[in-house]
Amino acid sequence: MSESLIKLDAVTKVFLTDEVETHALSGIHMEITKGEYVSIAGPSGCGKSTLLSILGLLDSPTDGTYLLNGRPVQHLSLPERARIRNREIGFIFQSFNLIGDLTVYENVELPLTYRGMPASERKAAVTEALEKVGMGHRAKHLPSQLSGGQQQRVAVARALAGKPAVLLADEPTGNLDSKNGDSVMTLLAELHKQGATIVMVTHDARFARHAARTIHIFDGRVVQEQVESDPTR
Amino acid sequence: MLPDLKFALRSLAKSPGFTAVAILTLALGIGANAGVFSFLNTLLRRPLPLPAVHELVFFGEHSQQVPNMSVAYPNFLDWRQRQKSFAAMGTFRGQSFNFVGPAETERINGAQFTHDLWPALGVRPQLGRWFGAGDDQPGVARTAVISGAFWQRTFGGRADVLGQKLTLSGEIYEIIGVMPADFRFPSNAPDVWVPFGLSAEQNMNRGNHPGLYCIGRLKPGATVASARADLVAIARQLETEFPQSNTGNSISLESLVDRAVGQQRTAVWVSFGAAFGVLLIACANVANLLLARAAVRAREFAVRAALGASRTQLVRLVLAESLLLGLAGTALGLLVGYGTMQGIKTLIPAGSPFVTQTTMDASVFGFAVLIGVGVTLVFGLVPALTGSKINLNEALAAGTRSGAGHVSTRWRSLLVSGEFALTLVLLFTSGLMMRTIYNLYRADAGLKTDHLITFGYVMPGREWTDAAKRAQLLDRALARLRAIPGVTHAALTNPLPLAGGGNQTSFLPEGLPDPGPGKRFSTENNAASRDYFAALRIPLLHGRTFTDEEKADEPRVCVIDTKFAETHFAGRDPLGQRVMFGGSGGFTLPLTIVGVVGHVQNYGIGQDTRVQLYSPYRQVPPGNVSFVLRTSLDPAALAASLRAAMREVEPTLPVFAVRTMDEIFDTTVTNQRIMLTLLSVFAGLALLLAAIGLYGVLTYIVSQRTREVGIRLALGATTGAVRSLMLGQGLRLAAFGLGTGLLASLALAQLMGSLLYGVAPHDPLSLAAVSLVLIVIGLFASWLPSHRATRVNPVEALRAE
Ligand SMILES: Nc1ncnc2c1ncn2[C@@H]1O[C@H](COP(=O)(O)OP(=O)(O)OP(=O)(O)O)[C@@H](O)[C@H]1O
Ligand SMILES: [Mg+2]
Repeated sequence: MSESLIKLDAVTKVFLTDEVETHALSGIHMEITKGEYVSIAGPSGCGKSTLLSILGLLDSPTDGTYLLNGRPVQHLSLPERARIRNREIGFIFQSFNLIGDLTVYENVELPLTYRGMPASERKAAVTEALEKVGMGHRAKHLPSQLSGGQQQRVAVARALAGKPAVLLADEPTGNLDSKNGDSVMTLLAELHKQGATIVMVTHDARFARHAARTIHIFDGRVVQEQVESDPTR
Repeated sequence: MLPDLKFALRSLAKSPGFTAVAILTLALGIGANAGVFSFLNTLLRRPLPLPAVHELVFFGEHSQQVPNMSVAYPNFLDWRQRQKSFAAMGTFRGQSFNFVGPAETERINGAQFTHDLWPALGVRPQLGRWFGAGDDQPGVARTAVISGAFWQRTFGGRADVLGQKLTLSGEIYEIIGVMPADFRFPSNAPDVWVPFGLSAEQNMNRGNHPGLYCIGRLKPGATVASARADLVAIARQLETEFPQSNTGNSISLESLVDRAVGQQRTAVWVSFGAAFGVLLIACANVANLLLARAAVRAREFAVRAALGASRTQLVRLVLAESLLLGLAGTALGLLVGYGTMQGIKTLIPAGSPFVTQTTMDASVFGFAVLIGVGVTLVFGLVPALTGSKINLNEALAAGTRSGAGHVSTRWRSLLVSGEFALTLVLLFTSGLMMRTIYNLYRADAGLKTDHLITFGYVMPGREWTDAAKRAQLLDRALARLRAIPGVTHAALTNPLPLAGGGNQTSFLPEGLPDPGPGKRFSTENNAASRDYFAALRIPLLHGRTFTDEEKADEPRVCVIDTKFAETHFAGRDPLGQRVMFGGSGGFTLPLTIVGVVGHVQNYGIGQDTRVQLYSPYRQVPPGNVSFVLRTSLDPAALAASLRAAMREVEPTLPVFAVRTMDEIFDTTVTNQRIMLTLLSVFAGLALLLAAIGLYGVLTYIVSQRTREVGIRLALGATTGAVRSLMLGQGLRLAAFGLGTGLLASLALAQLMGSLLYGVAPHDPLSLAAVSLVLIVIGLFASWLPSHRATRVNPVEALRAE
């Protein structure tokens, strides 16, 4: 039953700037199975975002192996990585990152367009995703006409629309007040219940508890894994 | 304001690249305008170096056959006596002389004036006096007025020049006056003026139009139109008084300014329009640079605003920078303008008023400063207003795109589209000129100008009045020239085709009744030697050409052109037919047609010409000829040997106007060549600036959209998709400009119809070609920024600032 979706083995990431080496990740081992809700925690600068970028194939590891769905993906070409990002990964960012010139509908539609999906299918998928996050009535609005919480819901819809294998969220509530933050977390929890695999970075312990498992990172290494006894609380 | 200026100076110095590009761009725009404006200034304000020049009119006679006929001297005398329009009027003709100088005999330009022309023109001698009525009649002592340049060159500017003697074409003249250095009338840089009255007796035939034209100075209240009406009425009286000579002859009259520069009016305005287009493009680029700068500095402005700076203070800050840039651009622009003016002058024939009258005077200077200030305000205000309109929260908040960025992108896109529109217009007009020039050079003038060298030769005065003696000299000259190594044909003619001159003669085909004065036929009448047609590759179509064995006392023969044959012998064989020449005594002199040759466009491609007739020079030896030599070598290289040969033949007669026939052809398309050069330079400049503009804006847009590109990449966009996105944006800007430019081109090109030859002002081929060029340039300019967009690192782009 517990099918491995993501498997990292001795993954390192070294940044070279002005001849200074920064070891953002220094040998990460981790495994995430389908349908899991994992949160990643740790102090600022410990490498959480770097880890998420690697998981999302936005960046590649300096060393180590990354198996996605059992397939090594650390050395893929740019077009292949773009393809996988498009089909297998859904990103949710701290600062929403909706495109200001596109409407809510168009933002959600964008990854489907890159996939070459026919318009009618796109329409169905976009409508479904927007309904799921409760933003169906705002399809024609521009992001600037929405509140922060609403924008993040749209961002979640955009991540969902393509039915990716995993949702990656980097501090999705970081730019939201607690009420809006709560509602976005509730939304993610619901999605998880419906079967979505979620990897979320947060240093808010309150939200981390939504996840079934929390991976603690310190200085580029996994220092502790903690399984919540009651994930619904 | 002073602290603002100081601060602006400091911040400009801190970005030397931006400052240099902005100043240089402005200088190019302002310079191109100031340079061309100096010619517009000449056209509008002082086309000729004569006082109250707009009071002067130029006139001659007019008939059905010869629209710009010169004036019969007796007609002039009657006009002068009966007219009521002019405070003064006189007549003149250009005349060159063989001047026996201290070293050798040279050919100098001059003119014959009637004495009353001097007060009409209104320029006094700097030394001595004009000639008066007493000097201007037959049989009196010969007097001459010389030019300032001739005075310096020949007499070293000595004050005792008055009273000295000059030998001109075998006659001795006494110098009575020296004109100021800038007096040039007529326009062929004359060195000497002599009274026409000296030769009045030979010109008392009303049927003879000896090359005279008239100038009148309008009385107060008289206009060009009223003067024309006055003279036309007199011409009518003369028609009834002298029907034999004057029937059908009227007046053609225009302002002297129109006569001198009217033909260039369109060219000057089109050039000015083109330069103005370049200026607008330059301004758009500088405005773009300033907008980009304002966007970059939005944060700095926000901080200033947060610290309590008012909008006015922010506007002033930006304006101070614009002002400094404008000043520097104007200063440098004046230099560029001077260079542009000098450069354009090298394209124009030396005697043109546009060369002699055009200077960087106060009004050109003022104009440059005016446009400098004007454009500074315009391009300075846009960034000042958009840049100062900042939303504090947005600009200070991390990670969000500022509102100013949006506004400025819209402005900048508009500016770049405008640049492309203007560039298209400029490219299109220069494309039209290119096709015009191509057509002119490809057109069949009826002769081949390559490998030909020609020179002028005059046998003047009493010494050469004997026609037989002239014929002998010309025979010897031809034989000697033929012996020059490399010369395959040596021939002579008068007048030389394409050089601007022509002789017309009335005639009757034999057997037709005389239709009477004013209704007779008229033909171009040329003298030619045996090899003339072969030398110029004028094809012989029927019969024969000349043999050089024709005798003055034998019946006269002639060769006609195809147009003559078609007009007067349609459907008949012209060979053996006769045409009758004559004069006041009737048409009694028969010429037998022995050959038919091709028609020659002797006034230049596309210019009107009459039917043409050639006589053998040995039957009517002209006193004034042009030799034409064909060679298998470089024709210009023959100049020295032909001069030496002609010195051997007759040392006292100078050779002058030594030019290749190709050079002469070039002068017939001078206007078009100048336009082509100017428009191409301006269009090239515009293209460069527009490309830089598009590049700049797209670079800016890419930087503004970095984050968006990051998002798109994260969502699975391939680099190809990102590149197309950005290229598409660049091309959209270019295409928008293209559409607008096409419409503008079609409207504006109509204005230059008179400059075009063989190409329509809406030529679809040129339009398509220049559109293609612009699209390619648009792609080029967009490529680098678009490529840069594909290199965006999504991780970095997306990291919250
Ligand atoms: N492109 C880069 N170049 C150089 N160093 C980098 C780069 N990206 C990240 N780093 C460094 O790598 C380390 C990990 O950064 P990362 O952004 O992953 O931390 P984080 O855990 O997400 O921190 P935070 O909680 O503040 O977001 C930091 O020391 C950071 O400075
Ligand atoms: Mg982070």
